[in-house]
Amino acid sequence: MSKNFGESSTASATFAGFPERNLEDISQGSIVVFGAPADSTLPRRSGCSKGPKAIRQATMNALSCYFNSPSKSVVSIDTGKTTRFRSEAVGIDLGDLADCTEVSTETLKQIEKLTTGINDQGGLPVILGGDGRILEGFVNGLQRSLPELGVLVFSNRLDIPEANDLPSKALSTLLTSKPSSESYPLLAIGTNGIQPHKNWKEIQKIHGNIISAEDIHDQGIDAASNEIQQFSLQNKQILCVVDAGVLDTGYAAGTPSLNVGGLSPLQLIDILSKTNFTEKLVGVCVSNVAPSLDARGHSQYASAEALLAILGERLFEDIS
Amino acid sequence: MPLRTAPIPRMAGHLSFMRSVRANFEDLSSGSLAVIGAPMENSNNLKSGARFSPLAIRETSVYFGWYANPQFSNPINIDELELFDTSSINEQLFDLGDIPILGQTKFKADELITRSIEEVYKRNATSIVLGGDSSIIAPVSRGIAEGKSAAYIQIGGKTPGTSNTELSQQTSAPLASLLASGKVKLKDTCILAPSENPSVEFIKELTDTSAKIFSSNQLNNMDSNEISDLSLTLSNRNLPVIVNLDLSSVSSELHGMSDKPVFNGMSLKLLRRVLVAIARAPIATLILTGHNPTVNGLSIVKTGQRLIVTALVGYLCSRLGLINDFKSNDN
Amino acid sequence: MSKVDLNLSMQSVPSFFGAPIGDIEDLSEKKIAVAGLFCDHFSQGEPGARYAARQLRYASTPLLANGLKISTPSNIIDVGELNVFPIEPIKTQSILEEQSSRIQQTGARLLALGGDYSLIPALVSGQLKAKPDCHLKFIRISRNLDAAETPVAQKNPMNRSSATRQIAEFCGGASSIAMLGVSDLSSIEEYEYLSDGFVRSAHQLSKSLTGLSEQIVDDLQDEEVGFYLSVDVDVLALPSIRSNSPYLGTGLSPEQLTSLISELGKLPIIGADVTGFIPDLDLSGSAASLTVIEIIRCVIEAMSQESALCH
Repeated sequence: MSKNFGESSTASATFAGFPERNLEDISQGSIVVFGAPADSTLPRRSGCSKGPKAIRQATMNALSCYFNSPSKSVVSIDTGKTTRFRSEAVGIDLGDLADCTEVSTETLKQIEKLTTGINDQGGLPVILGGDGRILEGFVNGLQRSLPELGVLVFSNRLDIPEANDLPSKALSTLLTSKPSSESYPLLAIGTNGIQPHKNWKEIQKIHGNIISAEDIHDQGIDAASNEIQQFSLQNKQILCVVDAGVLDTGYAAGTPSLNVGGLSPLQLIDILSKTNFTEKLVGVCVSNVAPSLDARGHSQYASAEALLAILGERLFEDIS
Repeated sequence: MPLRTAPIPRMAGHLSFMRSVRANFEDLSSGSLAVIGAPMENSNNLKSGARFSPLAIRETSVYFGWYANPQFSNPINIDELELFDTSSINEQLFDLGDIPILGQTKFKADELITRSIEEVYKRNATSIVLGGDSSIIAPVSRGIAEGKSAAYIQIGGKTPGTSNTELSQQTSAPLASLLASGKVKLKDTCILAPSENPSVEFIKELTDTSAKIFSSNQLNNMDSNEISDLSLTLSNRNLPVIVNLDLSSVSSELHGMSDKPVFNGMSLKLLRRVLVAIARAPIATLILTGHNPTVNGLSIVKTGQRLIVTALVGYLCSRLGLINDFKSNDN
Repeated sequence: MSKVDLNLSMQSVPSFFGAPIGDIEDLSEKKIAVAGLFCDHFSQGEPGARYAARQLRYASTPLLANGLKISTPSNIIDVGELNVFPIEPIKTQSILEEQSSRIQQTGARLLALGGDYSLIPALVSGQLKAKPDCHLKFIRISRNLDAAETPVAQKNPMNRSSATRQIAEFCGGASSIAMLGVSDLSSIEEYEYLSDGFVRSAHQLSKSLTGLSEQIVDDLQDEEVGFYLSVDVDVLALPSIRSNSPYLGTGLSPEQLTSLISELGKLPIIGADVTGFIPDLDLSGSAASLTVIEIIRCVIEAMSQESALCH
């Protein structure tokens, strides 16, 4: 498998300050980040191709308080909790995939192949999108060696969008794992609004669970975090997906589609901060970040904070 | 008889801060509040724009120049049921204009800022300095501290990794350079709603010196007297009190105009309450930083500017003694 | 105290070209009172010209002029905005007349910026009231003639499309009017009304300006005159500069306009205005504002010149 990465678009920042390396440098347990700058297509708004770079810069911004401390440790004034950034954590940034500016069957195959390669070498693949459609390639890549994959999705929709000639697909149809009476392989958080009935039915078929944005607004973030804890008990391998479209457009408009009534950035980050499923994490996908559509920079920043919260113990250590 | 014999439309004419009287240093006296612009920034091209903040704040503030219109004197803040007696505001609030920094070297610009603030402070007047970015804090503080030291209240903004400058990697936290220069001692510092979690080293240093730090959640649960005690305690040490209000103290979804988004910052109501409370002490100067009006374009009204000016109106009315009572329904 | 010897003076709030801010008592002979017009309520077409004065102040302030050195003409005073009553045309007309007259009585000349042409008849009327013995001739640089029949005055005394006719009546007839830069699409009735005046199209002017001022003076048959110069930004053939007339793609370039204004500087200009500019309110719009600032500077220079042709 050859590396097929373009000119580094990470000239100013890599993810969390990870060194920029090649596939050959992947070691067991390392976090391996790569970008898939595939843009969204009509009728959705374009701008996702700048997502990977924006997320990288936002993570550096989010981590600045840690880098600022001689011991890379910060204190939460509210809780008194002290957290250290594990600068010894092994991670590499592969840069962005070349020839990945639009979603196509070819692009998805590239992503699938790369993901499989990372997984086979024992790395934890983290993909920075790019259009939400990249999830298909990512899931396919993981499922080659992880047949019992459970997917935790933060998204306002129950499918991955159509792109170019590729029709939309219900989230559940991406999975090959079979649900059992005790477990379900799909948990969707933050869905809201009108959804196609067929997507709903597909999710019902695999006994998927949905915690809507409205549930979270009404009952608080515990409605989601409790469910996530339950989900992590039932699934041995978890892929976590953060679709920036789960965020309310009034808070973070930098996504291809609009979402009224979605989650606030603080809700998203707090839900992920309160849960811990890092041991079972086998992959992370962050998608649908279109920074040019959000002059305030909230979309990429919220996505970056969410990603850091997902990586949890892999990157951070609780000291107190 | 002046040229104009009637009020002009709200956005017309020369836009001084809240339509206050344009004045010179000589017009200031004890009890005056001078608004002065320091349009200076160190930002690089992508993030530049903070130097337009004084202009943008003045432009927005004319919406609050109601006291200049006889139809609207003595307004009521309907949210707080507060009555402002603004009849004397024209004798107390002055706009000195901007410090002419353009084209100057950094050294000269710093000196100009320091000298200008000295001129205000030596007349026992207080000031609101419209930044610019946080690079104006050090020269403003020099103008107040006058070779001694000052107390410092930071609202929002970054904290240093450590006050030990040899170890500190952080150069953009303004407090770091104030501590390094000795203008401010850590024990005379209070930090409210910082924009990010402070380092464990800095927290320990603060704790060792009994300096205070509060998050926005904690401030929300304090009553106004507790908040005003923070500034009163510092001023009782016979030190001039400098307040730096950085826009990053406010939740970014309310404005989106500062560099780093903060999702758990203060609401406008809380910010106003904090400013009104701390203004009970004789604050020497309030320095406004962190506002980049070009983020969403420089236009008639920007939410962030409105927010800042709304909060500042509460501050200056409190500072000038125009609000008398705190309501019991603080929270 | 600082070791650096610095002359400590503050930069005031933005004013036109950084000029001193003053009022009626600061005006005298040789001074030009630059005033803003915060009003675009009485004309059809796109609103926004009310903000022109403010944006022009910003554009001529060095901090905002993208580092360009904009020198301050030494004889101007920014007197702020003239009073207007945006929903009361009769009151607005009256107060503009009064303010214009008071400024002229000091010996200073008025340069009004912003707003639109519907306000100008009142300023001209004020000029005439201040100096009843002066024969005032009116030079208008605009794409439009705006010489339509005057509607019932009581109903709408401030109407852009008939402003030229109003001014002609104030100044003693159409022979007192010179229209420059007119587009070829004006109505025949308006042309006929102005047949006694001096009319040149943008196309004619673009060929040559030589002797234009002499022609205007010759045609007006009277050397004992003062001139009022009214410049409308709609004469420009630049889509990037918005005016309250729709863009037609024809007109003068900024260079042609400034050359024209310089040529007219040979005449004794005792009052002027630059109107019709709708500024962008974002910084990106400052390029258009800078262009208009150059035009205004040209007008100020023209007003400051000693007349070579008339006394």
